[in-house]
Amino acid sequence: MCIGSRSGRAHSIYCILPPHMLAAIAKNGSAEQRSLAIDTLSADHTFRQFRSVQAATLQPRRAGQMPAVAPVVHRTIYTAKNTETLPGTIVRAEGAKKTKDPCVDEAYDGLGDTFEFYLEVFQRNSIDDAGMPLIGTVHFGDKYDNAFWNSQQMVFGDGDGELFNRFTISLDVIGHELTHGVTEHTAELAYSGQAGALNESVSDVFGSLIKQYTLKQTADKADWLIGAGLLAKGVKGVALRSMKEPGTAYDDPVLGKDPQPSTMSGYVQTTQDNGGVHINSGIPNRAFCLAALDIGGNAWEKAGRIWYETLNDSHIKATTGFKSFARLTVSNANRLFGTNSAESKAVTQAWHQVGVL
Amino acid sequence: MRAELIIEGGVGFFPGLARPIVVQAAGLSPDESAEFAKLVSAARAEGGTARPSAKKPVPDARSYRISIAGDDGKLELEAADPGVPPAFAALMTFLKQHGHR
Repeated sequence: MCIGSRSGRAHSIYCILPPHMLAAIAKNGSAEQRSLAIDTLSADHTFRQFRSVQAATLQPRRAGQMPAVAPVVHRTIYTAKNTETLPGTIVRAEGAKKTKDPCVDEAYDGLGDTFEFYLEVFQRNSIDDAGMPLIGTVHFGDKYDNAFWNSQQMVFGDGDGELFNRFTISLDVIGHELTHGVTEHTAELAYSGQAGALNESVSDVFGSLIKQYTLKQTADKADWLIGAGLLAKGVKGVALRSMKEPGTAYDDPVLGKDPQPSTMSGYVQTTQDNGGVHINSGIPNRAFCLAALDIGGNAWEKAGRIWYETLNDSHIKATTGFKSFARLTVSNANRLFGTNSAESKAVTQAWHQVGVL
Repeated sequence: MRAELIIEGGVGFFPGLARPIVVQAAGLSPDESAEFAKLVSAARAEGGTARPSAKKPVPDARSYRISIAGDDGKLELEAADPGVPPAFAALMTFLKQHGHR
């Protein structure tokens, strides 16, 4: 890809360097070295993108397009070696021993815990309920402060160490991201406005339940935090979000103050964040937490079951808003536990408390 | 020349990080200013004018918008995870290092 690069002056040594080294030179080299590295990276980018797409399309298949397979977890962890090339180089395949890299092992264990939770609690066979292999890439980017699911795999950054630690550190964040895949294969909630906030909330709900299930915690013992341990030392905060007390997770000079409302009276109308998907998710998050605490016991057994059935309810639409979703949870609570059951009353009351019903 | 970087998305919304990062060429040393111009030129040549926001959003992935105003007019570049083009990424790194919110 170096021959005929746009500027026509890419140095031969840059042709054989891997992208992560080129990126390092583009950032840290002399002016001339940076310039040559940027030229080479630009020329190489299209080719790498093509390879990335090609590799991705060979990996998972959609539900219904593959034969039923035995529910066995199949994990593969890659490293991007601090580049943005996906999926990267394999560092741990299914069944392989622990490595000395906590990012690799936390990702491997987190994918396994999530698979186990969905299988054992909801009899769901992986993200697509058809045995989808679970792929994760760690060490993505340079001090990348994020993690995401791109419909085919998990991607984890290392964090910058100043604001955020490594993004494999919180099991609920791993569960959160993989649940975006579950939503994509079930309710297909849109990613904007109230439907987007529900999409985010569902990921928080099941992310938290995966942690509670793994730790064998009852609802009253759970911390109901999303991303505990993720904020670096010195940051004034405890997590990304609090499901129990939205708006209280952090208040820091750099990050600002947690903007999540806990009731509809604080609903934030904004064009930022896809219409406030990470902001207004505090409202349905709190509704779930209140219902789970009221019902008592293990939150995944009853409240979790009601939310999971709602996610799979044929009446849910991509544009479903808070009120419709709330009614569907009540409907599913009635169906599962009875119209006048304590579970149904707890769910109804929770939505009233946050001002949705 | 003035450049503004806006970062959106990610696993959470942080009001402090949602504010734009601004770099004014006038506030840079001559060497930094020359590097800034070179990085802008490379990002412009890379052609990152496609609007990723028009695509279906990837939950929790980040999107980036760089607005540049200079003597030769205005330029707006956008990119999103995964697959931020390298010259765009290099310019973004420079803006993060030399800019302020």
